[in-house]
Amino acid sequence: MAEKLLMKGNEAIGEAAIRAGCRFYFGYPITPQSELTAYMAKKLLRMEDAAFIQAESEVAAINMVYGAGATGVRVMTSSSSPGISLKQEGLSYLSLAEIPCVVVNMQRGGPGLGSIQPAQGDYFQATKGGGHGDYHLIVLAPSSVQELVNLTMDAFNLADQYRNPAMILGDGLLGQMMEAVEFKEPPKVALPDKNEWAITGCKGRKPRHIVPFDLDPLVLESWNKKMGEKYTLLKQKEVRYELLNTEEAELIIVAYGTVARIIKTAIKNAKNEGIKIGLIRPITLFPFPEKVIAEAAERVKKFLVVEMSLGQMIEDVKLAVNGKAEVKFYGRSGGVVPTPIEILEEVKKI
Amino acid sequence: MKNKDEKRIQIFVGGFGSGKTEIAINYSFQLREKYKQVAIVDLDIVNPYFRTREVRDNLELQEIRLIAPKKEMVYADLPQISPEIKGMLQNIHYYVVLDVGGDDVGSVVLGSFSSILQGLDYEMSMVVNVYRPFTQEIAQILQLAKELEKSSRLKLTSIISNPNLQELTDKGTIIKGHKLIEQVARELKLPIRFLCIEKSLAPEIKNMNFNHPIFYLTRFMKLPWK
Repeated sequence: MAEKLLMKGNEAIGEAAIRAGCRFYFGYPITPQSELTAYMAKKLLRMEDAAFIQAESEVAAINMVYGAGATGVRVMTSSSSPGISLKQEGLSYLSLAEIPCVVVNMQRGGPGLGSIQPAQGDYFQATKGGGHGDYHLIVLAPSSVQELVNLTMDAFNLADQYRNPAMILGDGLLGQMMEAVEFKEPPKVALPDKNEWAITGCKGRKPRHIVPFDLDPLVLESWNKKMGEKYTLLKQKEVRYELLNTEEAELIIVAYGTVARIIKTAIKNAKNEGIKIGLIRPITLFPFPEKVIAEAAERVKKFLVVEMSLGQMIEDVKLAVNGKAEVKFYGRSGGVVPTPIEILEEVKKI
Repeated sequence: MKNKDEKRIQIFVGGFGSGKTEIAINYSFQLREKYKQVAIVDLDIVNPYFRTREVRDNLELQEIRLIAPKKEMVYADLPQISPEIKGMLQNIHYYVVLDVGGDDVGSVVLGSFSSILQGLDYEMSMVVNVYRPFTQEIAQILQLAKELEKSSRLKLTSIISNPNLQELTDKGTIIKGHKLIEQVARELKLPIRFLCIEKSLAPEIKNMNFNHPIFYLTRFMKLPWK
């Protein structure tokens, strides 16, 4: 049949990953992202030179990612909030070892076991390292099923290009909802040769080690610095965002993921009432689009950050605004999704 | 829709995300126009979101009885089967719609009621959207039919054609998708009960003949920004 399909967000990530060349998936089911694990099982178990393992735990799964990724193959794992917490040690190891991989977090209400409804409470964890040590993941925040497809494909390229774990940060709603999607050829990007570092069998060359430690502080510091340079490069080259009506806006809302969809409806409704709202939607959460926010703060004096949390991304927005404008916050948490009506009410209060 | 010998038990099974819940809800509203006592059973143990229980208020307003996990358990991440179901299936005064979870996994629940259902007058329709992954090809749909019958321990009696890409659905989508379902129906030797089309598309297809009755759908599972 045609290339257009009606897919759940979770399924769409799976298909996009496979089309991007991912043949290795290790994970442990958790609501609301289990359809992704199920999709990978259905597909990869029928493919040659592929592996799917439902691991005994999230900790095991992320370490399998380390093993597979060290051989240079494209590999993925996925989970939802509590499961992603369990993967943090592994992500820290993967970062220092510079192993490319893609990790998906379809966030749910937290903290703790939380709820199974959509939330955005893992922003800090995703963008500020999450595990121990000085590191960052590349964090992409899609807001539609089609964008899940596109960004999943991009995530594999970015991970390879920067030898860094990349995370797709979605939420339960994005994972569960269905939208029509189209699959195009994954973007062709010139990528570094993995044969330079991957463990591929040492016949005819010196053995290699891919390790997440060096006991000599000076050596470790040099690695830290190298990683720091990588993050600087990411900030210079890979920032992505979407702008809507920011030129004419009297107030700018900053929101990512599914919340941005809700904001778009609120903006349309506001327009009918003569209220001019703009939207800055960060697509990369790390690197964060601080420059475009700083520029907007020169013109617009009112900002509203809306999140499905008690306020996390607002800290990055405030750093970018740097006191040039007033930054307010509206959030719902625990798995409650805000409505366009309540957002418009909030705007009117400012 | 006219149907003189409407079965008292209406079971909707099918692939994951094929549209069973929307169809079951719409169907129960239609039944309610004809009969006083109508119940809808949310048998979905697979989906965490977008389930029949989410339209509880709409159903109650029409005096359609909803049998689903109790309000306080509605968000629990547990497969729950209400003890009321068995009684309802045997209550000859009620027309009962069963909204079953997706794939063979979802239909397992039906299997636990198969001994009761086998002795009753039931219609079991397989809902298929050919634009969903895993039901895009004839062979896949035939395989699914086999799996559904095996896990539910019941026989399919008809097929419901639900070709759609949500908002991107147009005339072409429907024609192409429905043609495939006609082939499937021939292979399975099952009748096509109806073709589902979203109500908003009615003007676009009004002069067309699809060889089968059209069932106009109103969408109940809405996203927060719609």
